[in-house]
Amino acid sequence: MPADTRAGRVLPQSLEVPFLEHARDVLESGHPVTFGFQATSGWYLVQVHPVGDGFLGMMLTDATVQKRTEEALATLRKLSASLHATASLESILDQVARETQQLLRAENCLVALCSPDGFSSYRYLRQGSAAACQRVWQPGPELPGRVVFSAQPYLSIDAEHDPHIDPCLAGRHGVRNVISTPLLASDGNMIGYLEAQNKLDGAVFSGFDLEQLNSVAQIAAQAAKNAQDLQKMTKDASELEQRVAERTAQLQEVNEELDAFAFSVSHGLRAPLRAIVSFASILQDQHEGGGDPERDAFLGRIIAVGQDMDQLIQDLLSYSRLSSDEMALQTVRLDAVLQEAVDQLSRAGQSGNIELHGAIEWPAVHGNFTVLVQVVWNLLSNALKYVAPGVQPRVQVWADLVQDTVRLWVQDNGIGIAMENQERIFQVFERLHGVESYPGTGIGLAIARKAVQRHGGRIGVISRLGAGSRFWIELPAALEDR
Amino acid sequence: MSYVHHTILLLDDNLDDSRFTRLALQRVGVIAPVQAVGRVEDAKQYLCAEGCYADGENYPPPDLVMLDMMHCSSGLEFLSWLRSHPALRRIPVVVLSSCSEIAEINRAYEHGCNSYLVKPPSFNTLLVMMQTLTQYWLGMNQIPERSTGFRS
Repeated sequence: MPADTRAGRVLPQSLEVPFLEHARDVLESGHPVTFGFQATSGWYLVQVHPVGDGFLGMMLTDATVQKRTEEALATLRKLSASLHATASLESILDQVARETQQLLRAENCLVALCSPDGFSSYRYLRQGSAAACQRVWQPGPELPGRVVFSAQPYLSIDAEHDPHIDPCLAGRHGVRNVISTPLLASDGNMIGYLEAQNKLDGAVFSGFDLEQLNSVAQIAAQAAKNAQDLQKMTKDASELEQRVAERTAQLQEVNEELDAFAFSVSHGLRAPLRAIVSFASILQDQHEGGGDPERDAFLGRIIAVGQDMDQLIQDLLSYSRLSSDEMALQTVRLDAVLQEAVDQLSRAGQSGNIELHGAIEWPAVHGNFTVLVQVVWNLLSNALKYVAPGVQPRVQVWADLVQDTVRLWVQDNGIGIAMENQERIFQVFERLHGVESYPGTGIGLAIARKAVQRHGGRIGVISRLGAGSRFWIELPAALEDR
Repeated sequence: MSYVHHTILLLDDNLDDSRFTRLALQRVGVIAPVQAVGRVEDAKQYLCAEGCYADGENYPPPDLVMLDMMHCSSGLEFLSWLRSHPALRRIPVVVLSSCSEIAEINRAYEHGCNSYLVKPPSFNTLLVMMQTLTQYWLGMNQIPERSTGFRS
C-alpha cells in the first residue's frame, strides 16, 4: 500500500523517533532500509527508500497478522515440545489450559478430557485461578456437547443471545464470546474438548483465533492420546506382572502340595510295609528249623521283596526332595565327599577296590555336601555292582579342574553300556538288566543327574559294551578357586 | 538279663507297630507287662491314674515312656503336656518314630524328648534296637526320683 499519502494520518507519534533515525541513514547511504515497529494498534513493517533530491519515500505495511502468526507458531512449537515430554494427563491439562489462555489472550480457558462415559476430568482457568475436577459429567446439548457430538469447532461472538450456549454462562460468568474445538486423536477418536472465553482486550474472537485454538487442540490431542496409551501400556504391563506373580504362586502351591503328597505317600507306604516284613519275620523265627521249607522260602521272599520296596520308596523320596528342597551351597572338598561315600559303601557291605587317584590336593567345588555324597555314592555303587560274574571290581576315581569347572571321573572295569542305552540309564526306573542279575531300584543315576543339575552341573558317561564305563560329573568350582 | 520291676508306657497309635515293639521288648527280657496305649488321652489318664487306670497295682507308674510321633504330631502335644506337668516332667521319654526328617527330630528334642529312634524296617533290627534300648535306659541309666505328688 502506498503509505506516503496516508502516513500523515495513520503514522503514530511514536514512529517519529525511529523514522528520523533511519531517515538519516537512508539519506547518507542512498540505500533503502526496512524496520519493524510495534504500535498499540498492531505490528508494522516500515520501508524507507530515497526518491532523489533529498526526498524520502516510506512504505508502511500492516504486519500484525504475520507477527501474531509467528508468535503463535513459536508458542505452539514450545507447547508441542513440552507436551511430548509429559506423560501425565493431569500436567498436560494444566499446560494446555495455561498456554491457550496466554496465546489467545483469553479471560478463561476450559480444557476437558472425555471417555466413552462423558467428560472424565477438566481444567477451568478463570483469569489465572484454576479449577480442577476429576468427575464424570455428561455433556448436554449446549456448547461442549454441540462441539463434541458434531466434532466441529464452534465460534460464538454473542454468547448472550446464542441458543447453543448455556444462558447461565453468559449470565453468571459474564461470558460474551467463545471459541471451542474438539480434541480429536489422529485416528479420529474424540478424546476431549478445548474452549476459550472472552478476549482480554475486549475484542471478539476471530477466525484466526479459532485456527490457533485448532492448532493447540491438535497438539493437545496427540499428547493426551500418547499419555493415555502409555498409561494403558503401563497398566497392561503391571496386570501382566501380577498375573505372572499369581501363576508363580499357584505353581509354588502345587509344588508344595506335591511335596507333601510325596512325603505322605512314602510315609504311608512304609508303615504297612514294615508291618508286612515284620510279621513275616516273626513267623519265620517261630518255625525256624521244624517248619515247612517251602513256607519258609515264601516268608523269606516276602521279607526280601518288602525290603526292596522300602528301599525303592526311600529312593523315590530322595529324588522328589531333590527337585523341591532348597539346597544350601558352600565350598565342599571333593576328597571329603569321596571318603564319606566310600565309608557309607563299606558300612552297607558293598566293598571293592576303589582307587582314589587324587592329585596332591583334590579340587573343591561349590555344592551341597550331603547331596554330593549321594551322587558319588550312586556312581561308586554302580561301578562296583555292574561287573561280569567272577570279575573283581576295580574302580578308579580322579578329578581335574578346567577353568571354573571341576570334572570328577569314575572309571570301572564293568560290563559297559551300549551307545544306544547311554541316555536311558539316567531316567527314573530305567534298568538295562533284570533285578536278578543286578539288584537295585533303577533310580540311583536319576538321583545323581537331578542332583548334579541342581548344582548347575552336568553328568555323562563314556562307555562301550564289555569295555567298562567312565562316568563323569561336572560341578562348579569353589568360588575361591575361580 | 531281665527287667522285672521296670514298667514301660508305650504310646503308639499304630496297632501293628505297638505290637512289634511290645513283642520285641518281651523277647529281650522286659518281664513286667509293657503298658501300651493308642491315644494321647489314655496316656494322660494312665499317668494321672484316672479312669480305668486308677488301679496302681495293675497300672504302675512307668520308668520310661516310649512315644510315637503319631498322627498329626499329637505325640509332640503329649510331650509338651508331660514336660509342663509338675509331677511328671522328670520321666525319661524315648521317641520311637517312623519319621527320619531332621525337622521332626529337632522338634521332638525341642519339646523335651530324651532320645529319638527311627523305627527300623525289619523285626530283627527292631529286636537289636530294643535290646540296646533296655540295656541302656533300664539298666545303665539312672532313673530320676519320682516327683512328690506323682499319682497322688
